[in-house]
Amino acid sequence: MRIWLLALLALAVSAAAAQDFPPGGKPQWVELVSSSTPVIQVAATGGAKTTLEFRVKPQMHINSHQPHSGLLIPTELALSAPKGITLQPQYPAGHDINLPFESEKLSVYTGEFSIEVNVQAKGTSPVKVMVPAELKYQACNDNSCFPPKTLKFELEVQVAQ
Amino acid sequence: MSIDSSRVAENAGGHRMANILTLVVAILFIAGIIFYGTRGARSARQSAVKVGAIGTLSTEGLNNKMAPDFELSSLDGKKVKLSDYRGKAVVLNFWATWCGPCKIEMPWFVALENQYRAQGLEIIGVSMDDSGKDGVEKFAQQMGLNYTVVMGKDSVGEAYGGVEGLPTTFYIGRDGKVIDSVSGLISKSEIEDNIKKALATSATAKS
Repeated sequence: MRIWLLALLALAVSAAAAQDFPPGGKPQWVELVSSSTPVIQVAATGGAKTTLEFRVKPQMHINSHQPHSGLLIPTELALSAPKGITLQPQYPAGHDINLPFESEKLSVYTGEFSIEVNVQAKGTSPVKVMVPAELKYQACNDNSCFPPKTLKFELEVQVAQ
Repeated sequence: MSIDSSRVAENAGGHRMANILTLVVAILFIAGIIFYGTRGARSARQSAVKVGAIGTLSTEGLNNKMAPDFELSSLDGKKVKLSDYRGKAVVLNFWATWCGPCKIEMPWFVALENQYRAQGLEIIGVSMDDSGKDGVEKFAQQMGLNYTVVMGKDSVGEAYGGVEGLPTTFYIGRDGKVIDSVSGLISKSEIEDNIKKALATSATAKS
């Protein structure tokens, strides 16, 4: 009994510590909230789509996929699809904001935004794969900007007969 | 049931109750740790982004300490060593081309460099871009930067407390000690006040 309690205690302390020090030691400004389909089911020769919901931390913004300036780092979703499957992200339009430090408007995502992913299988044999995904973004608030970050996660794709 | 066996049963029941109570206390304790851990982390992250239009983040760890020395390459290929500037007031400004607030400060630094150079001011811009020197050079030309710009390294950023948010600026006295540091955009007059403080320092380090 005591061993179990000690183990539980150690687990709790680790969990609490992990929340203060996320992987890499620096916080993410964006989190993946949900996916419309936990497993993306696609026919051997066919298509499917899923919608990924992300949330930007309060008081922060990230550049949209098409920022107005070439100097700004766009939000990109990189998907490492296996052979025979293509995954194509469809980005939402950003919304324009004016900030005290910018003479021109910025095209950004704030709060919740979603990226639709179109999946196509081209005569692929039935298979279930985990597709590595990386959301690359760069965040700022009203008076500071933070280095580009990558949010890593996986999408589960199941190719049926 | 005999007397002895009933005592054994009572003892067993007592132990069971004690174990249950211990378990309940442990669960409450663990829940508390997780709750406060979560709340603490959330609070820390919120405080890191709690800013107004003109606000600051804390980078005070190096204040009153010797500024960590470094040697970095400038845009014109020269080696820039911080300790070579001893005797001058140095503004060490960490920035990046993708940083909007950094761009606001740059014309102010250009003007302040012109105004206070003769009194011993040296502004050093440390670019934290990963994209390479060419892009930084082009940007510096577009912004008309008249002060030294060096290509930063993560190790230098770490030596200065991590430099997570940009701009982050350190004001270094003539004796090489950090007299103030600011993360985030502040007003030109606040920057100028810090420069005046740095210029007013003595070149001799006080122990």
